[in-house]
Amino acid sequence: MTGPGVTVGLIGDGPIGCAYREAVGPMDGVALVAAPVDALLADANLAAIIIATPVNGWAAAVSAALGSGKHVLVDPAMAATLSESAATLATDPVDSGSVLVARPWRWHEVCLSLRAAVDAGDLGPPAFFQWVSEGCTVRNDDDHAARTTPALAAIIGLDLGMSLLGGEPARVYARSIASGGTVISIRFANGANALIEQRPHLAEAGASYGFAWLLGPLGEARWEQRAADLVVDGDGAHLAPLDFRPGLGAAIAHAVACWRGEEDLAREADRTRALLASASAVNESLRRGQPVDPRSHDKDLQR
Amino acid sequence: MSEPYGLALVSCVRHQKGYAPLFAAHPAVRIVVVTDEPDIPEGMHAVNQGFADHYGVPYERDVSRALDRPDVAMVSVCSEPTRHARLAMAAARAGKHIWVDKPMAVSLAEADQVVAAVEAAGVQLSYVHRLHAPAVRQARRRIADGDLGRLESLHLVFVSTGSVVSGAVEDYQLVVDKRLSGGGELMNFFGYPVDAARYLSGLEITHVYASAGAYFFEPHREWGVEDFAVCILTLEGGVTATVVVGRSPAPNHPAGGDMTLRLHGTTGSLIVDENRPRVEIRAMPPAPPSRSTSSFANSMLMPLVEEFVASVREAGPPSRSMHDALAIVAVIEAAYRSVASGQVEAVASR
Repeated sequence: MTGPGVTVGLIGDGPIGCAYREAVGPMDGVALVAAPVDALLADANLAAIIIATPVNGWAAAVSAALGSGKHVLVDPAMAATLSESAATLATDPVDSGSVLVARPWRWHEVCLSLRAAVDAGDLGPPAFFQWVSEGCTVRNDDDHAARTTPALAAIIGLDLGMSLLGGEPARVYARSIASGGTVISIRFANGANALIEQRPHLAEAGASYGFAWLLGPLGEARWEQRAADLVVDGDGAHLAPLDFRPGLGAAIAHAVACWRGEEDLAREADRTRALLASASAVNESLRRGQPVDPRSHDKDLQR
Repeated sequence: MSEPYGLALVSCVRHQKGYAPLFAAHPAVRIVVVTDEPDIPEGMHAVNQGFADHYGVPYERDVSRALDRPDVAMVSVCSEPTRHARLAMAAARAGKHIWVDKPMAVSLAEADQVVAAVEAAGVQLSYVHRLHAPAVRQARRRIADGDLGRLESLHLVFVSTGSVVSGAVEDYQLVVDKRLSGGGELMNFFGYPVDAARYLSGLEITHVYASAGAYFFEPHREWGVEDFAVCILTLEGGVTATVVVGRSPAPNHPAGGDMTLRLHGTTGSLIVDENRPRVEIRAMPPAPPSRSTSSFANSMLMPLVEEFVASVREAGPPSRSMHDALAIVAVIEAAYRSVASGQVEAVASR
């Protein structure tokens, strides 16, 4: 990456923080600063802060960073719950920092391949997208998984669906699975459908599974993690866990380009807002037990 | 009534070519007549006549006269779906045992009438399903044995590939013309995953959400019926099932479609794929779709025919009864209500 230098603070030194550090390391012109949170917030040289703390601290960290005038990059869904995400976004100060949600799956090789098939016209205008992700959810404990999986599934699914199917979500219906998974049906304004299924890892079974399916009038593209991905080690044979990290570098690079003014930061911030509005609609659908139109939530967030 | 049981092929315009040979091969069954309603189009009469010629039996154009024949003990109803219920009821009133293609009826009101007629007549009814697949049977045993723990979610796919005008269907209007089909691919295929969900979980489906449209095929668009749908079902106890159902245009699909069941419980997961193991041929020029090494006819339909004959012989209902067929129709009807309303719809209980 070339361009004007940009200094970015990193909050969090756990596994996710390490993943961010490794992804930023090779980037030209990007200096990563790790320091106590108060020092980062007070550092006038920082353009942005990446938040990689445990999820329970995201909402407060995002608000603090925005309050100090920094741009923010944080994992989906910006807070531990969709309600927190919406509340945090509503406090986004005008004319200061903007919050971006890192969306590594959009830049994951699987999705880039699907996107390439769409762009090449191989499938015709896609009408259906299914994303199944089992075992990739960060899971500290059952309570954590139960609270965060809907938000994570919503963000990942909505982002991929919007990217691959085009248009805006017009109706979302979500249901929780008892152990912490979430299924979401998304109908887009153009009539296309997405079905997102996300489940936490079944530790007892030791298996994970990934599946992407894109269907158009001319054909289909599909990706499945199956027997070929079997890993054999001292614990026996198991499927390699789905890894979001291949797309993380591209997600960060995109955010940096926004902060440098090379990409349209306002447009990306709007996209984050639209995503969170849809995610908020998912939350309401879970609460009401009926489909919800995300467009009404977008208006709410813009007020 | 003694064996061999006389069988009337009642209309042959849909899947009879798949079912009749199995009945013909069964030692306890003898095809004795082909019949249909008198006022159907001449083209349908011609199809029926072809079956009669093939099996060397008379073609009786008046179904009521055929059902009066004392040598007819059972019928195989394979008309277009909107006539399934009427023909099944006629057979029941004549005291004949009934094999009926899916769906048993195209509305819940009709299905109720079929059940009432069959119960009043004291005859047996079997409907066409895919639950005799060995992998499905084994899956049910594993679930019942508690291998998955408490069942939490089911994820079902039934997507057939190929256009209705490509030769995959006898006459595409039988699928897309609502006056004949009763609906689109939800009416045609949704019953399979619904049946699997009920069978494997042992739970009733209480609510349905469905989003559907005509995305891939001009005949469906032209006739205003769906070719594809995404559904989320709520089962008793809060169990969730997702269903992807319909017809896709994917050319040269190696197995003619995707029919998979994925089930998750608290302690394990289970996957059934109808097409694995299978023989898969990828070559130029494209080869005809390959099939599972244990074909639909051998692994699923023949046991179904065996079970139907046994139910007649033993005067007891088959393992999947007309009440299951009725439940399927109720779910299909709720799905269509959901497509129209955009809301989650309750399944009518019986």
